[in-house]
Amino acid sequence: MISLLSRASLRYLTRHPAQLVLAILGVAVGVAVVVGIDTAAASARRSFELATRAISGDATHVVRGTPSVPESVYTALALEPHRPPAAPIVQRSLALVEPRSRTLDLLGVDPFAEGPFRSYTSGGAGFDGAALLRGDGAWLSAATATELGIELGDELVFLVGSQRRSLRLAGMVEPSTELARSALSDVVLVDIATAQSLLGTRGELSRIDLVLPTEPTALAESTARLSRLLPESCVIEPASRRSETLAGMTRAFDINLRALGFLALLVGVFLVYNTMTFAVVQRRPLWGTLRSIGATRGELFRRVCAEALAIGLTGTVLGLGLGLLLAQALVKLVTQTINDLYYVVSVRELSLEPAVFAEAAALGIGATLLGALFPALDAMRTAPRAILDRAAGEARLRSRIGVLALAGFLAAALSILLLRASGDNLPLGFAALFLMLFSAALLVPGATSLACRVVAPLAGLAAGSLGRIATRGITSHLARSSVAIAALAIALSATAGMGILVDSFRATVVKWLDTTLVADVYISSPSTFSNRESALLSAQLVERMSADSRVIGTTSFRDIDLELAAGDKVFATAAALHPKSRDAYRFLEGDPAVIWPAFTTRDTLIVSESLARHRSLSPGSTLEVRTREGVRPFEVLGVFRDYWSDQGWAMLARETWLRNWGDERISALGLFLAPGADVDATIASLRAAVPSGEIVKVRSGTELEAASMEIFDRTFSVTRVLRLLAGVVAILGVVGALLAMELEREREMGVLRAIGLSPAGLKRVVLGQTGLLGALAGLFAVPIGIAVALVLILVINARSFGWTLDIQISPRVLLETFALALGSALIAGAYPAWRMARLSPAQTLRGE
Amino acid sequence: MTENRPQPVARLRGVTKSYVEVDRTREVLHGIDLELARGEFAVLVGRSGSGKSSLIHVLSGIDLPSSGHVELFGEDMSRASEERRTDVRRRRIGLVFQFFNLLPTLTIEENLLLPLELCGKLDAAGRRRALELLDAVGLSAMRTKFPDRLSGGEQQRAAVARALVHDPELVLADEPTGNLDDHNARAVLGLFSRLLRPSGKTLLMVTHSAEAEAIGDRVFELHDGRIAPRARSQSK
Ligand SMILES: Nc1ncnc2c1ncn2[C@@H]1O[C@H](COP(=O)(O)OP(=O)(O)OP(=O)(O)O)[C@@H](O)[C@H]1O
Ligand SMILES: [Mg+2]
Repeated sequence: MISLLSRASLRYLTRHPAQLVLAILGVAVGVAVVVGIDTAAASARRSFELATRAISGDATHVVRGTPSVPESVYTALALEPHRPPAAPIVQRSLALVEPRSRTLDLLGVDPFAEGPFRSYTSGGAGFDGAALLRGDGAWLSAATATELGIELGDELVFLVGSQRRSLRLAGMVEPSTELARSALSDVVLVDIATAQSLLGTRGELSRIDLVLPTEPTALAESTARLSRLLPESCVIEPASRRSETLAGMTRAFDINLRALGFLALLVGVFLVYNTMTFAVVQRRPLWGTLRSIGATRGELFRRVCAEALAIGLTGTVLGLGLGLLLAQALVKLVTQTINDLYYVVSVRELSLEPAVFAEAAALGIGATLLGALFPALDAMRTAPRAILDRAAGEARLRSRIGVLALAGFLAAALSILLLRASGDNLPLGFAALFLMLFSAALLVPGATSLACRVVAPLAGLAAGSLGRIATRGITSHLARSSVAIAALAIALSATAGMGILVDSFRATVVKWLDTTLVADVYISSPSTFSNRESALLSAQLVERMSADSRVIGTTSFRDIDLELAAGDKVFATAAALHPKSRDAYRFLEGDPAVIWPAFTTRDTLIVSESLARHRSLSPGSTLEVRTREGVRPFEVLGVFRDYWSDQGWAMLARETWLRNWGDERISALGLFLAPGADVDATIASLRAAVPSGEIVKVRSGTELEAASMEIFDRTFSVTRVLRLLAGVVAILGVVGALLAMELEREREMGVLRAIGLSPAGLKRVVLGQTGLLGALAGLFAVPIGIAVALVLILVINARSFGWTLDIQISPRVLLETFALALGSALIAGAYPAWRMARLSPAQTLRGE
Repeated sequence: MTENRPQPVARLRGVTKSYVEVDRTREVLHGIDLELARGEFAVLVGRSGSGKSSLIHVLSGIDLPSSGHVELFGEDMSRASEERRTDVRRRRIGLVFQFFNLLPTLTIEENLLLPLELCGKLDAAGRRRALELLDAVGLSAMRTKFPDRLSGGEQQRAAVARALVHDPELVLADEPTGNLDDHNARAVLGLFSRLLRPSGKTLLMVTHSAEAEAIGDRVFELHDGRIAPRARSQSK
């Protein structure tokens, strides 16, 4: 038996279905965005972990080397009397080009050493280790083979550097657990010798897997003993180190994604607050009546909270479902970005983590209750005589405008203080950003009433009493109208801020590419950035390309991973720079006149801005780098502007690289043509000169720039989607708010109609009012949006990626924001306008 | 237009009004026939719930009859378009409602000026008339206040003033003295007589008070949804 009070609530809610549906949708979309983003990011993370675990198996430690581990190290280990279980591994991410293009992890193993490490490579489940030894056979999981549509004996063609190399499918692995099956979906197993010959790295290992004792003293003892057997270029490290480093790379990316999710939820909270405020204010006479017939304050408070809870629960359940759908779409965008920028990962299925669901549910319900708190307090404080005093709540807000504005200024000051005081801390940066948005929301009522004071006389002049009715309607319902304006302004300013960030970023990168890509033609292997280690060009190719008569100069790059003494690695490029290429570098720190002479002659390097920020490097500091001859200090000469990677990278001279590592191969080549040479014709003949069996990209600077911008735009596609969602939530919110506000004025509109205002005139009044509301929101969104953009560019971007961007505020973004505000407000006004114009005035003029 | 025979200002023929409720329709007015002649003061009485307000709404054109005809100034309103009805109302009719009359976002004076603005008569003469009317109902001092600062009676007086400001030919007033003390009620009734009588305007007023009833030339009673003329009560 439900109480009469509950029944009254229920009837109220069902009699205002539009409001109810919008509130539920608002919560649902907010929750869905959080679930969607977290699930997508978690699925990418989980797939990566699974793949890593499947590949490293039960190894506790690994031996790594720079640039690789010589096979002799494994032989030396094998001769050791107390040797621990050890297995040599050759591993590399390769681009499969046939039968279909896709990235696979090539894993070369020694089947006889595999026993203690990986169950699927050591017999069992239909796998015959000895068979692996025979010839050029590759093994795939049965599911992957089916996906690729190949059968035993079929050919798999890979791109190794610039060359096509093929393997035959010799067998299929049937992993016994679901976990292993999904982890192995991107692995192609081969014998270690096959791997070496395929990659052209005979005598080299990627690593040696070890199982060391877990007991600390025994571990220390055996690590020390084994270390003595290793050359200077090799180290022993925990097996988990590498995956931790990789996972750490995406940290900033993850945090940014989550912040976007929170933004959507924040707008959702506004929405609920909005709805609940309406629901309470509309029923003020009811609260008064209830109080006068004996309901307690507590009962009213609980009533409002219970309603909010019902909305929150429904919205949350709906949001969890929607979130999964969203995750399906987002996971593609997220993995695309990770693949473009960080490491190779492919996601088979969404990993549904209870923690994500619990968090999202708690956020959804918590946010709803938070949104309902003030309205509930308001209902509770309703005096019994409020039956007769409909304006009480509004009067209270009007008297509080000053206090709110003061609080707003304080919050703004606090957020600036927090921005300054929080150093390089990214979450605190976001906290400050949200605080700033909150302060803006507090300032909206004051700004609105101020603006209306200015607009009212103008509206009066332009449209007479009807103009006055439209403007004054906003101020006299300030409690409601300012919430709607604030919600719309905040959501739009956040999207405008992101728009400005992306614009500025894009403009900066375009300009930078223009100055950086000075060579006429670029030649590189077609692999992605995350696949850079395998992107080597063959010597024959390099020779043929540079031999063209039109080529008068070259710049060459060799991508490498520098192993640091601390155990982690840094992306680097060994470059032989043409003078024109040199001149294209813009140094933020360091003097080119000092840098270039020292660059080729000593063990020095220059670092990109991001790397400098992440590792606090500046001219004069050193990086301890593991070379062929052991750890050596490399001096940092300068910091240059760069936008290739948010991890940052170092550049050293080719001479320095050869001195310390001695590997001649290069990964990319820039050609400078003789003045007057036809670039397109040259490219055509260079393409024709590519040795058969090799695949390379020969591109003009313009083409390379376009390709780079394509990756750039893809990276921001997640942002675009989320921006759109935040916008959708905001529009839902403002539609709901205005709908309720206008519907509440039905009676007033009835009077207008009765004394002779035509239906068309009435529509103009309603649309004029919502239009004004939207225009105000748009007006406020512009400065707030610029402030958000500044924080995003100068603080958030700098902290997460370490880039200096040229700020570019295009009028287009601002106009778009304003138009969106106005447009959504007019859409919001359309229904009430239509409905009220149709309604018989008599209907609205009935008594209470 | 020449008037060769006296045309009624308003004529109802066989007007019925039903309201649709959740599970049934209920007829509140059953076949009302009524004529209001030019210059006539008519009073409508009846028990609460008898349909008086419904009749006023139908007559003024803010609601449509379920069947029958409503003719105003010789024009069949039940056939006219919404726009047409609105136009007739704004120029020729003054309305006082039983409950909610004033626009909360306009001051008292602005509320009075609104009908003038709507029918394009917002000129100096109109403004003067508004001020005179405010004075006549004793609200000069309240001019710049918003309705929510006025008492119920003050609001009602302002509504009466607004119904008269654009010099309408027909005034329909639903309990205009319901909230007023004797003194103010008399002032409002006096206003009707003073402003409407000399220029031959027509009034239909719903009331429960005997004193108000007294200014009527004719009194009708609504009973069970039917209308009947009533013998004048003795009070005079
Ligand atoms: N919109 C409506 N829907 C359903 N029934 C209605 C509606 N409006 C009026 N009624 C019903 O019609 C009847 C007449 O109402 P009306 O307001 O015309 O009475 P009234 O004579 O003006 O009463 P009072 O003297 O109390 O003002 C009432 O019984 C009322 O319940
Ligand atoms: Mg009535």
